[in-house]
This record gives sequence, structure tokens and C-alpha cells, in this order.
Amino acid sequence: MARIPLTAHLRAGNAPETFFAVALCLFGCLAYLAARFGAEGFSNESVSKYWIS
Amino acid sequence: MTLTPVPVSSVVAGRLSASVIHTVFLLALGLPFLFLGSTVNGTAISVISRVVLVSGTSALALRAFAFLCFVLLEPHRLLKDGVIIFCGLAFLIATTSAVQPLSPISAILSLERGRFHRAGTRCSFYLVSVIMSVLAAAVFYIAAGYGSGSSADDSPCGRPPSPRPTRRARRGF
Repeated sequence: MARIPLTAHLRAGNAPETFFAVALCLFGCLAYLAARFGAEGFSNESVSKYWIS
Repeated sequence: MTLTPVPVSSVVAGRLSASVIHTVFLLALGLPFLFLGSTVNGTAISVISRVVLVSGTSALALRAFAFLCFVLLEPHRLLKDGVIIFCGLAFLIATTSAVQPLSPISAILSLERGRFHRAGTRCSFYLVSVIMSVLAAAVFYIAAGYGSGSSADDSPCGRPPSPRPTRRARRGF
């Protein structure tokens, strides 16, 4: 089977799963960042500003 | 003891709005890659918008769950991270293999195969995923509000900073 260069693939639109591979990678990155930033605490400055003992 | 004069509801609302804005910002960062990918295989704009919607709402739901874990397990940082990672992965694996309409991965892949609607129904995978994610985010944020309001020590505003010892105290006077 002859190898087809990548540019030919791209020009002919012969990579039908590219978009969904990108979409799944984007979803993975988003999920990681959401879990990372969602569990982040509040800044200590605001706590010390409003803390009333 | 009052940790902060700001009511819990406004803290949760502020957290929610910040989450929405930050998720939109992250989606905007990833959008050029989606457009580049769509030029390769000629994906329609409607599919791109659906993929963005599914990814954004799922990320928002995961963020809400992470916030709930932060409120409930704040002193146990390692346990908190472990619970978030384990529950997130378990949800994705379980729903993708067993309950596909709930899975965001299945929703994105169903858009690839052109299955907007499930067989025999007017229900679409991506729409079910979006609605369930929004509902889950609302439930998690409400639970976080209740969880933080139930005890003052576990407030989402964090712990009060420990007072710095004075020089005299450090010297042992």
C-alpha cells in the first residue's frame, strides 16, 4: 500500500477523525483544569480582611 | 464566631459566576484548535457549537463537584484530590460504558457519527449530556452552600489565618 503524504491527506479531507480527536483532547484539558481550579481555596488576603474574631 | 460577614449564598454565587467566566475563557482558548480541526474534515459550525456546549457544561459540573469536595474535605487535601480524580474518572468510565446518554465523551462521539437523536426518540445525546451537567452543577453548588452553612468552621471562605507569633512569644517570653 502506497504511503500518502500528510499534506495530501489534509487537502483531500481524508482525516475524518481529526476534529473529534481535537475535541476529546480539549475536553480532557478542560476537565483537568476544572477539577484543579474548582478545588482551589480562597485567597488568604480576603479572609484576613473580613475575619472578625 | 463569624468567619466572614458575607453570606454563604453570595459566596457560592460569586464562585459560580467566576467558574462560568473562567470556563468560557478556557473554551475560547481552545476554540482555534477546534476550528483548525474542523477545516481538515469539514465539520459544520453547528457541530462545533454543540461540542463546545457539551465540553463547557461538563467542565462546569466537574468544577462544581470539585468545589463541593473542597467545602466538605478542606482539611484533608490529599483525600480531597483523590476523591475528585477517582470520582471524575469513575463517572466518565461508568457512563461511557454503561449509561451512554449521560457521558460527555459519548455525546461528543455521537456528534461525529451524526447521531444527534437516539434511535426511536427525539432525545439527543448531547442535549441529555448538557441538561444533566447543568442539573448536576446546580445540585453540587446548592449542596456546597448547605455544607458550608451547616458549620462555621468549614466555611468555604477558608480558615482564618493563624495569628503570627510576636517576637516576644517566639523568644519564649
